[in-house]
Amino acid sequence: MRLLDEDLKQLRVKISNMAQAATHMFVYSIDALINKDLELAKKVRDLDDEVDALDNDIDEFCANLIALRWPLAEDLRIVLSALKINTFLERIADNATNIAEWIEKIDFVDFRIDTSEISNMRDKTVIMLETSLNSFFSKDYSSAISVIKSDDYVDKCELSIIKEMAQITNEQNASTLTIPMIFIARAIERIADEATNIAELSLYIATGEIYKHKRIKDL
Amino acid sequence: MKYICNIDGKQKIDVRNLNFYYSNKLALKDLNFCVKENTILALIGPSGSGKTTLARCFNRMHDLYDNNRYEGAIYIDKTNILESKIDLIQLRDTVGMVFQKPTAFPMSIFENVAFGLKLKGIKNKNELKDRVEKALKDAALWDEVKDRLDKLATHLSGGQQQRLCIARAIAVDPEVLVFDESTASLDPISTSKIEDLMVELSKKLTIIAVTHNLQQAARVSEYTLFLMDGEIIEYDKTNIMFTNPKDKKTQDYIMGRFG
Repeated sequence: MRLLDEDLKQLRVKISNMAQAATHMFVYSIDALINKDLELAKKVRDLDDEVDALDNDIDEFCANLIALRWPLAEDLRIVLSALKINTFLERIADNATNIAEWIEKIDFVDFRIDTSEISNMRDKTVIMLETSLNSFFSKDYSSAISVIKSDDYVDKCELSIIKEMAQITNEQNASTLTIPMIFIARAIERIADEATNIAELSLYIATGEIYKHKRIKDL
Repeated sequence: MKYICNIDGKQKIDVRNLNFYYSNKLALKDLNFCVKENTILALIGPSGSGKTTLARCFNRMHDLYDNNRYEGAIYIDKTNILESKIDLIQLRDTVGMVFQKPTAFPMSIFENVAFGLKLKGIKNKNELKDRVEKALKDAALWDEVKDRLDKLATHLSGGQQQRLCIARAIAVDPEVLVFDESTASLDPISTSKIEDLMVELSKKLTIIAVTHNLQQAARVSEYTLFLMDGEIIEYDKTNIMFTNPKDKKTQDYIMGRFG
């Protein structure tokens, strides 16, 4: 086994830990909203420091790996992608933190909003995240494509929530409830975008071609 | 084998159906490719793949030994240098060579650089002086030796001796320069100086660099040709070869899975 293989194995473990932490933060944040659980929202905010530390650790590990092992070809693509995936995961954690902060601003005494669409968005986004990360680890081309194609669904959910919130705002003058909901939907949509970014990098690793900015019909 | 010539500039060398034999052993197998002018082409491949054998074809070094045989053609511009009527002395002025170990002659620094010029029949002292100075400047050695040109070249450091060999090679105005593992015995600082020099010289010359050092190939060359068992496996722009090679054998070699 090459020395580099051992390092790449460690890198995969680190990315996996980071992905798990960021995904947990996201899931907890939506659970906090659905269950009106402010303690859980606070826990999400606290977890952000942990993710920041993992983010720094991965950056440093990749810098050392490039300097000392000089990865090339597919190895190089994996390390470059891992560095970017690390940033995407950190942004997912930031978005989860934003969701938690918006939850803390909601007055749950008057909360009478149906969260089923948010719940749908969460479920779809978690599947996208898990699939994109699996495609990164297994270099699975077809599952990466399926993630990219799913992004449209989440975008539509976000639009539907925005429309619904606009209507509620007009009818019930409930902007203190609806504005946080709009920002929460926006944050989930951004998390789904990050899953798409990860899937695009999985395709880059598998093929050597850069897939970002490609249209879905060209995939 | 397929002809590979996806260069983006003027062509300097054209290799056609090249076979090379050490006695009956076929060492290069039907090579077909071209080399861009004023660039650095890195020849990479495992030990025994034919890199040095190929490099030595460009100035017919193999002619020094019996039973070596070429087939096919190597055109430098329009001239097939494998033709029997080729003047080998003149060819070796056109295609200079720098070897792994510095080969300073046991004579003064000045005489080392003037050696080839004198062989060409240049006797005028002023012309010799001017051309030695220019070659030493082009080889980035002038400032270090200008006050001791009459001193023995063998007293220079390894890195300085290698730059002296480059000065000797470029003094006779070559069009192609072949570096055969020319930094393999040098420390990192001397290596870096030679690499900078190679890049500078490639503005005026076509350089072919045989190297086992993949980092060096990546640092200095514009194109990389990967040889294995005397055959071209892949030949492309260096950035493509080192980020997204198309052939699995290239990928495995570059990633250090064999070699």
